[in-house]
Amino acid sequence: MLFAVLLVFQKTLYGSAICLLAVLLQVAAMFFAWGAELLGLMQVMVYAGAIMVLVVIATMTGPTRVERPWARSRAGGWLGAVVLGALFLELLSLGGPAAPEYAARHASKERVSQAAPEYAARHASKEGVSQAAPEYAARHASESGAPERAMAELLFGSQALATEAVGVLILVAALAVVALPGLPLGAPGAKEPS
Amino acid sequence: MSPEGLSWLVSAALLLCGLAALVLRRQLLAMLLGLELMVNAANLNFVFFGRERGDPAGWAAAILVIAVAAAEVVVGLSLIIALSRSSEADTESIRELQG
Repeated sequence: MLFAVLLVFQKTLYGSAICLLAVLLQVAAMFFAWGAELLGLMQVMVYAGAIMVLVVIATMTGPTRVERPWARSRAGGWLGAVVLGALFLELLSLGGPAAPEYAARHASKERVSQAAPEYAARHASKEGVSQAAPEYAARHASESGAPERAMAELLFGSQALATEAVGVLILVAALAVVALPGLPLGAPGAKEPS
Repeated sequence: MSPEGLSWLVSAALLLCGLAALVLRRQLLAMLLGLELMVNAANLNFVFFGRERGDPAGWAAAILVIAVAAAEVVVGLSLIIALSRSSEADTESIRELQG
């Protein structure tokens, strides 16, 4: 949280990028602590690795500017702080009562840890699976790896359309990255790229 | 404080810090960083509550959000670089649309 606050009040983009990197690594550490190793690894590789490299390169291509967002308008700053504080309190008040209702509503749902052994047994009896498969299934029916398995079943099963849509989105983003730098963006009369 | 409350507190703080960066900063890149902070706050809730409820949909949603956020950052950064070639990548200098 400290680095997130520091990100807002940094004077330069480099400082903000370093603070964001610290926040991303801390979020990855929280994922690891909660047993979501796959998500933690993805967080480190995609966010703290790839995205931060892109951000640093984009920072290096632009002009270095010092910005003091807190010194712009004293009255506006105080008003913003009050609004943000009220929003924060509202979010905290939502977290308390809403959670037990949600838990009671979803208490009858099949748990991931309970679903995993059934999945393992179902897949161990499939034709064409080698003899090592039951041992593999039994080994993977334990707590570790079971949520990832259930998540993969969801992503490539009932939610396959969403997964495909995200794949198409990434493809379109890659095409946009190729096309965008050639477009004449910017204010009219601005300096032309050299 | 319960783990649930702690997770809620951290994600709410991240969300509001991202919102503050989005509102207070004028450089486009800094605003993009604030947006990433907000996406991470949402991801934190997805992962924590997916684990607490035993619902793999939360983790699946977190993976999809990471992929969408990566695509968003790539497009945003290429837009910022394209803008910074012709003018400053600042919200004050981008006031008019062409065409």
